[in-house]
Amino acid sequence: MLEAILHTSLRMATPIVLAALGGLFTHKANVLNIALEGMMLIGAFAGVLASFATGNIFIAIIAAIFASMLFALLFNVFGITLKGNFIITGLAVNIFAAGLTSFVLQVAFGRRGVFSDPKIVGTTPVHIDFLDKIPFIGPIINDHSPMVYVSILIAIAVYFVLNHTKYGIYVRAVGENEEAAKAIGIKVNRIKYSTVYISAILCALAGVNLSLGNLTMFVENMTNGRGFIALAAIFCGRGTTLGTYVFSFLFGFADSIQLRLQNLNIPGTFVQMIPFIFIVVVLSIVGAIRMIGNLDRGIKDE
Amino acid sequence: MAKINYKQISKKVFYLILPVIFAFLVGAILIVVSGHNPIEAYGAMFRGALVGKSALYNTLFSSTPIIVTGLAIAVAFKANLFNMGVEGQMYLGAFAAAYVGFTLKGLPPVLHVILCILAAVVVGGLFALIPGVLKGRFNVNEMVVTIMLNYVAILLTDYLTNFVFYSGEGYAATYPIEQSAYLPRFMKTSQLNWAFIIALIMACIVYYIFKYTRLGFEIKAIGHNVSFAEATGMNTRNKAIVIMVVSGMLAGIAGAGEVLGVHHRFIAGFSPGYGWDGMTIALLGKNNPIGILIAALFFGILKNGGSTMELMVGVPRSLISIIQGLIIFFLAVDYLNTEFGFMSRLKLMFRRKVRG
Repeated sequence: MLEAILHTSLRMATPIVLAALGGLFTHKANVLNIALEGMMLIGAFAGVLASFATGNIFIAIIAAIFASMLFALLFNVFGITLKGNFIITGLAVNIFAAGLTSFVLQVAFGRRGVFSDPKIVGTTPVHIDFLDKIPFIGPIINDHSPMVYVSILIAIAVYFVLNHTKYGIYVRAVGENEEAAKAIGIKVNRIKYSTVYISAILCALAGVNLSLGNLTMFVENMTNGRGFIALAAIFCGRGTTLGTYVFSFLFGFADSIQLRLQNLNIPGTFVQMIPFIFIVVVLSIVGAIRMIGNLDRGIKDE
Repeated sequence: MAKINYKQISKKVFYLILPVIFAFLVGAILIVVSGHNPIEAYGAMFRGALVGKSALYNTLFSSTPIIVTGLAIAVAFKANLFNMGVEGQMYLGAFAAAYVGFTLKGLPPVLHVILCILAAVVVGGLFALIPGVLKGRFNVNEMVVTIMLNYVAILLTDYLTNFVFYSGEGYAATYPIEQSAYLPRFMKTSQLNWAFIIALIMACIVYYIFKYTRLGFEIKAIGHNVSFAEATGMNTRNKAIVIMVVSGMLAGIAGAGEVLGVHHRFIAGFSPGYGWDGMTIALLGKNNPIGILIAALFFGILKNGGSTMELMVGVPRSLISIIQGLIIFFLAVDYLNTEFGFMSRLKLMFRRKVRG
């Protein structure tokens, strides 16, 4: 029972983890990236289209990354080069992505809302034999879509890049003090650009995981706020890799509880509120703890 | 101050119309790609929205809820608070209005309508109090909280509609409200109703708040520079709460208008994203009530004409949201701000080259 819930948690958490790890780069570079949602959606859509057209999952992933990067380019041009407001630019990416996916769906395929077809090839779950021998942990992390394992590897990579490479230091320097970073010769805009592209790549993977891993179809607005949940995970994790991962997993856990309760005789819409309420509660607790910590040191503001 | 700088204003208007033109051009490319004629499609859209009395009325009708959500968002945006929860606050406000509408019986019409709207105002404001307090007290990012609460509000009203107050009429709706709570319509062939007048009144009230009240001044001060506002002795934390609540109250009114004027019951998932439209409108109207009215009328044309376009020419209505997204892109950039202005950047580049 518990194993099954945790197994589902890992599955539900993966898109959040991927998007949050991508958002972590932009967060560190002090770029508030609410376009995660839109980039994930366009990734999911492009992945499904490419998979439908070619039947090849790798081409699907590349297509998803390409589409997501194009939207990241838009974000960069308007948000960074032209110095637009990040929140407004991100909002534009999200609305544009939602509009474009449903427009293309209707014009090219005459479908509304949902696009599913037997020709769409999804990822197949991976079974790792030696995990069978490990009790409890084994059943939880076995038999997932490959993207789940990729996400774990990426989390380790992100930790390493952000904390132990020159690039990671540059990113943090840009985020903490832009003027100082500029003064020592870091190309601030180039760093910011690159972080948005990285977040786009990871969001594309998250989107592919949604549309080709958990399901093999595209549903309008299928990201369903996961980009913002990823942001919440980053805020709760206070911008650390481990914290972000833990909170992403926690939010996935709330989602899996919700899925399990739906099997019982409780109205679906009532149960579906659980993850969202949970996130608000966690955000407020983390915020309150931080506030108390700040007051202890006699500093009222950050 | 007293002199109106017409050159400055015309420049401002030019930079607001420019994004719209750009967005329409990109939209035209998409229409061509999808195999239609853009002139025909846009022609059908504007004809469908503007030709004939009932078409005009329907355009005003389409712009009614988005005027109010636009105002709700502008109140918060102007203070740099990103209340993205207008959608959810509107849902709960609408439900409260419907609840008062079908539970209280035998009231005189005007009183009943006022009570329903008051209920919506209170509930919308209370729901906005949550992100307000979290922002003001714990400095929690209001954007994420409001978006999460949107889902809560939509799901909660969906649950209440389907399981507690279900009318049993085959679709997810509550019992109908009493006739005394109806907002009357102006003509039979259009759904335009008194909610539009209420929306106009709200625009006047917000205009008054911005221009003549202390709250309006504080909103402006916080929006310009929080630290400075705090340094002058303003309690910006409490003000953030107040501003969020005012924004939520307006959102509640938007919901009440839909219930009392259009559906006459609460329908689960009734909003096609009025809260999000409000954001575009607040941005396009530069958080100015008059600008918001114009922007909302413009979007009323797009929305009302969009269905005609889909029907007559076959271009999907989702083109409207693409145009909306594109407009926001171009609006995100502050072309007017001389320091970062697009034109002055070009000039600067040119000057650098001349100097060598």
